[in-house]
Amino acid sequence: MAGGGSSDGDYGLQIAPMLDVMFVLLLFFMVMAGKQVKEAELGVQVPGASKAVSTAKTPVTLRVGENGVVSFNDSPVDSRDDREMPKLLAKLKALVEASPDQSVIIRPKDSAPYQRVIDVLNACGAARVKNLTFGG
Amino acid sequence: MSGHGKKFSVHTAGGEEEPEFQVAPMVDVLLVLLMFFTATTTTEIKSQIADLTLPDAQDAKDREKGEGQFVVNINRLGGLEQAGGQSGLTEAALSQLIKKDYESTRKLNPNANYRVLVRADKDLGWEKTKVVLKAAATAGVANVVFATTKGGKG
Repeated sequence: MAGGGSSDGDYGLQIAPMLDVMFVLLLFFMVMAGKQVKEAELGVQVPGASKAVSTAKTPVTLRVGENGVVSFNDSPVDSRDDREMPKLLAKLKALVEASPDQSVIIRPKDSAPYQRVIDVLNACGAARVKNLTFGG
Repeated sequence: MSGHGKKFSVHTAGGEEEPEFQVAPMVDVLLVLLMFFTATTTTEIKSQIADLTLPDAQDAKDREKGEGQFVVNINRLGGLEQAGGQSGLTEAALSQLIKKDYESTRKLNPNANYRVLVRADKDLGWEKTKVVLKAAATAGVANVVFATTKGGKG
């Protein structure tokens, strides 16, 4: 797309070059917008500040070790490379189905990988665990 | 820019009755698209400042705009910083800042669903996030949310 303009010497608005520039800008911003990663969130209630009443049922404890191994009541579940955590998810879903108010406590070690803790939180969210908190 | 009746036409060899190519409406549409993509790109870049890569979580909820929220960034070196504010914070200083912000929000709206948003780098250990949780608990804020990315690498 090029050319345009008038032949009689007056300085008219050149539409064709403007369109060229606009197309380039549009393409640039469209590609940039397509590359954007959407920011999302996972929520939890912090113990101590929470006014939640403790449930009578024994809570389930999920431990996250420093090497990323996750334990469900002290028995390891899923391999540490398994980001989806299908076994943990199945267990949590069964628990929530049996008792919707089942409380779950996540106890990560200080050196536990942050991404792994988020994986556990993600599994809890997918299983629709309502009473979720962190322990030391 | 809108069409003011001025037509830019592309004539073909067919004669006077051929349909004309209208440039002015096309420029209008292009400008609108350009403005849209410019605005969305700028907003997204603004929300992703700080030297960190967020963890990925496929089942995370879309981000909400709460009535009151305190955003804490934990960069890849483990430094705590208030988004758009102070950096190199200690647990006590962070707790004070959260408490101050929480109280000022509650003065304006006592029923505000105040929360602390943690934006931590995915390669960090849990230790630094634990500090933020403790600071939030000390400040009396129970609602803590973790920022993640969804459907892609952070």
